[in-house]
Amino acid sequence: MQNMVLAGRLLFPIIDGVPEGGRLTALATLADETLMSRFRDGDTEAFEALYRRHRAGLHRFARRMVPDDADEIFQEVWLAIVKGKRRYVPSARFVTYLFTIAHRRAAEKLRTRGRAQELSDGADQGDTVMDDRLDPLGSAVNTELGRALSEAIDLLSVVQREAFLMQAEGGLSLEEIAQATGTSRETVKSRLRYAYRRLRTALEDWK
Amino acid sequence: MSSEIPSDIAALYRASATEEPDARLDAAILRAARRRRLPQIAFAMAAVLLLAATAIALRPEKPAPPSPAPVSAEALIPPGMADGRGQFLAASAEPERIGMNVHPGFAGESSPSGEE
Repeated sequence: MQNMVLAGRLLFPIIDGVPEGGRLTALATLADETLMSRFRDGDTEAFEALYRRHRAGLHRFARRMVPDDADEIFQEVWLAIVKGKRRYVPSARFVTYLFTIAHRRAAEKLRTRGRAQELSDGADQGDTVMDDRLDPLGSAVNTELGRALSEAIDLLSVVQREAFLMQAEGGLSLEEIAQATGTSRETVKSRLRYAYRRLRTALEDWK
Repeated sequence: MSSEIPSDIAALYRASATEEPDARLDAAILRAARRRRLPQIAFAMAAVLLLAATAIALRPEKPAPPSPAPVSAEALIPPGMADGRGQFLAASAEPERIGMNVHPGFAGESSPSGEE
């Protein structure tokens, strides 16, 4: 863990470094959309700030959606943003843009694994458990309750898990999740309702 | 957000989710982001060089210094050294005077005394 923190310091000297206070403050206070617009105009440090802000959440999303291809999805999403920066128009929140790409990449990976059906609307089967694999990172969570929650998340159906993670990791609203996943607001609302019910039940069982 | 969706579970999740991507992934992505900028810089530099070369090529030539007014041959000959036709006197008249400093005895002339 200490190595990761050290690597982070080396990778983000401008953002993490206290002496670079002016630049640090300036970037930290900027909205995602502003940072992305700056990156589009050639400011690489703006991208680093944006990346720093969303890397962990997006990586956890990818790990919980397609554990075997998480790193690949993660890398592809960011590279898609880098390559497509000229086309970026801040018409929606950046996180919606980010998770829309992540949704598509995850769907592609699931399709190659013959599990694309799990991300389609017809696969929304309420409380049906679609994936009973446990996340290997479950042991890394800090508390027993956190571990139980992590395992319960992994037991959600793919579409429920996706909706939950988009909300929890990206802070997306119902409308934004609907936009990112190409479905309706009501469908997202239903998925989240089932997801939270299952998670609550799992935590009550744990207690 | 809808009121029926509990936020405490999401908060609990966020508090317990600490996994981070590998530092090598960070390095690869940030390197790619920086590398994507290089072609732009190269393009900009090439454009500047092209503009500079064009400007040099199209630069107006310096005006040549004004040529001196034509001078007649007579004007170049000092006064008193030319005949009326602009010829040097020294060059046109009495070429035999060239040998005037030769001793008379060697010049084949008679001595003033008339001796042979």
